Amino acid sequence: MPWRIQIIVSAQSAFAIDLSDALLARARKGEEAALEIIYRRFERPIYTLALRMTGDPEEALEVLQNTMLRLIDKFSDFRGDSPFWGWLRQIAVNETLMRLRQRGRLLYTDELPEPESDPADDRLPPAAADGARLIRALDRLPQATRSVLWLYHGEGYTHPEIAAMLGRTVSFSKSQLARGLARLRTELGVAPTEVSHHA
Amino acid sequence: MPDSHRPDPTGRPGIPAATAFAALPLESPSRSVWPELAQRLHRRRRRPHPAWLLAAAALALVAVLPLADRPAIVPIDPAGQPSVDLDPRIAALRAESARLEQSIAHDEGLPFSAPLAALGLDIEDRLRLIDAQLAQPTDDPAEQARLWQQRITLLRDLDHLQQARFELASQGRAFDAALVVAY
Repeated sequence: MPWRIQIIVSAQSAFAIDLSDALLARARKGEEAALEIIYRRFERPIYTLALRMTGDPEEALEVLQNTMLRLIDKFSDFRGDSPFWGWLRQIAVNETLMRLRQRGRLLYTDELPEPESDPADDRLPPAAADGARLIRALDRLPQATRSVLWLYHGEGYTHPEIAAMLGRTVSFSKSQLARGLARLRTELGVAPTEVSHHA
Repeated sequence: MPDSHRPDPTGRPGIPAATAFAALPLESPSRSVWPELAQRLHRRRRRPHPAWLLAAAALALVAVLPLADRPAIVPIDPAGQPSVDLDPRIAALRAESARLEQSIAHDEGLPFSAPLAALGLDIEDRLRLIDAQLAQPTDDPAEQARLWQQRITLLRDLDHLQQARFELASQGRAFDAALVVAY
C-alpha cells in the first residue's frame, strides 16, 4: 500500500516572533529587564538553529551567548525597517557560520559540482516524520551540507542569500542542497530514487 | 521562500523537507546563559570611562566655552527662579532643571583642579545670564521653554564635568594630568 503522509505545520521560521515597539525601545536603551525578555523569547530558536548547524550542544550554547552579546552591542544598528526577528536571526546565523569557519568545518573540497536537484524534488521518506530519526540523520551529514540544508529548508533562506553568507556561488548552494537531500534520504533508509517511484 | 515550503500540488507521497524540519521540536539549552549576560551588563555599567575619554569630553567643553576671568563659584539657587507659568512643558523643563541641580550638588567635596574650576565657572556664568533672562516677566511660553532648555543643557554639561571629576578622582588621577595625557 503506498504511503501518503501530510503533515500540516507552519513553515515559518521559529524566529518569527513579533515584539512590541515599546519593548524594543527599552532594550535599545540597554534596559536589563527588556533584554531579558528578548533573551527568553529567542533562547530556543537561537539555540536550535546553532545546534542544527553545528551539531554540538556546547557550541550551540556559545553561539547563543555570543549572539546575545552582539545584539546588546549592536542594538543601535537596528533601524526597524525590517522585522526584529529577521535581524536577530541573521546575527545568529553569522555567529554560527563564523564559528564553523574558525574550526575549519566549512572547508570545501574542489569536487566536481553535482547536478542541481529539481526544486520540486525536495521530499523525504516517511521516516522523516520521526523527529529523533531525522535529527540523527542530519547529524551524520557534513557540516557544510547540513548548514545549507537547514538554512534553505529550515529557515527559508534563498540560494543567493546562502551563497552570499558562505562566500560561495549560487551553484554551490544548490549542489550542496541536492547532495544533502540525497544523503538524508539514504540516512533515513531510502534510496534517493525511491521516494519519487512511489508517485 | 523556497518552493519546498509550499504543499506539493501533485500530491506526490513523502514529506517536503521544509515540513519535516519545521515539525522538529525546538531544542532547549542545558542551562540558561542569561545570568552570564546580566553579569556582563552590570560590569559594563560599572566600568569607569577611560581617562582619555573623560579628558576629551572636558576638552570639548573647553572648545565651546570662551574662557575669561570669573568670580568664585556661586551656588545656583533654583528657588530664585520665577514661578509664574503653569505650562506643562515648562513645568517639566523646570523639574528636570531642579533634578540636575540636585545631582550636581551631591558631588561637592571632590578635588577641584584649576582647569576644572575654570570650566565650571564658565558654565555657571552662562547659567547666571539665563537666570537673569528667566527672571524677566514675559508672556512668551516658547521663549521661556527655550531658556529653560538652554539652562538644562548647561546643567548637563556641568553634571558631565562633575562626573568626570568624580571618576578621575575614583581612579586616583588628577584632571590636570588627564588633560596632559590627551594632548
